[in-house]
Amino acid sequence: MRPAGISLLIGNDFAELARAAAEMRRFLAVEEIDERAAYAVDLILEEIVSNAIRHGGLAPEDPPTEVRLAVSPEELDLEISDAGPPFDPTAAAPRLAGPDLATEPVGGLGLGMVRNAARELEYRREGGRNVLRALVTRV
Amino acid sequence: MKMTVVEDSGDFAHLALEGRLDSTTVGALEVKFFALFGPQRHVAIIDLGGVSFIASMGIRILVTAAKTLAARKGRLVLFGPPALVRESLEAAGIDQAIPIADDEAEARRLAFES
Repeated sequence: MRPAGISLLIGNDFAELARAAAEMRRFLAVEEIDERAAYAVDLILEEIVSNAIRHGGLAPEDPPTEVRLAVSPEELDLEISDAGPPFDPTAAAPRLAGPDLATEPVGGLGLGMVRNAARELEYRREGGRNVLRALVTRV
Repeated sequence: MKMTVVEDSGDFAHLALEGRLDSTTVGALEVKFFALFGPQRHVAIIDLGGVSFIASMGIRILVTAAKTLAARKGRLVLFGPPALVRESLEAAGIDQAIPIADDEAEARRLAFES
C-alpha cells in the first residue's frame, strides 16, 4: 500500500494558516490518526507557522510556507519549510511560565509546547529557508 | 471560538470558552474577552471544558487576564480542560502561574481562598 501523506502551501497570513490547519485536520481524521498524535501535529503547525508570521516577519508576498506530512504505522513525519530569517527552534531555550504573575511575560511559551508535542525535532537551514522536521509518535 | 458569560456579578465573573483558541480565533475574541476584565473585576473563573485546542496565542490572553487580576490582588482560576488541552497548558508551565481546577466547585474555592 502506498504510504499516505499530504502537502500544503500556506500564504503567510493567519487566514491561510487557519485554512491549511483545517485541511490538515481533515486529512488526519480521514487517516484515522489517534487524537493525541493529531493534536500534536495541529499544535506544531500552528506554533511554527504563526511564529514565522509574527516574529519572523513573513508576509503574504513572501514565498509560501511549505508543509509536508508523511504517515507511517509508527509515526507522523512533519516537515515545515519557511522563507523567514534564520531561526532554529531546537537551539532556542524554551520558556516555562513561572509562579509570579507580576513578573510573568505574556508570551513566548510556544516552543516548550512544540518540544512536548514532538518526539524528535530536527532543524536545518537550506536554500535560504528554515526547515523543521518533527516526528510525532502514534499510539 | 465562542465565549459565554455564565455569571457577571461585578467583582466576580464566570466565563466559558468553547472551540479552538489559536492565532486566528484569539484575534476575533480578545476585545470582547478583555472588556470583561475592567477595573471592577477582581476574581474570575473560566470553564475550559469546551476548548478543543489551545495554542500559545490562546494562552497569552489567559496569562494577560490573570496578570490583570493579580495586580488588583485578585485571582483567575481555570477549570475543566480536556486532557490534551491540560497537557498543553502544563507543557507551557501555566499550571505554575494560574491554578487549574478539575471542576467549577474547586475553581470557586481556589478563586476565593486567601
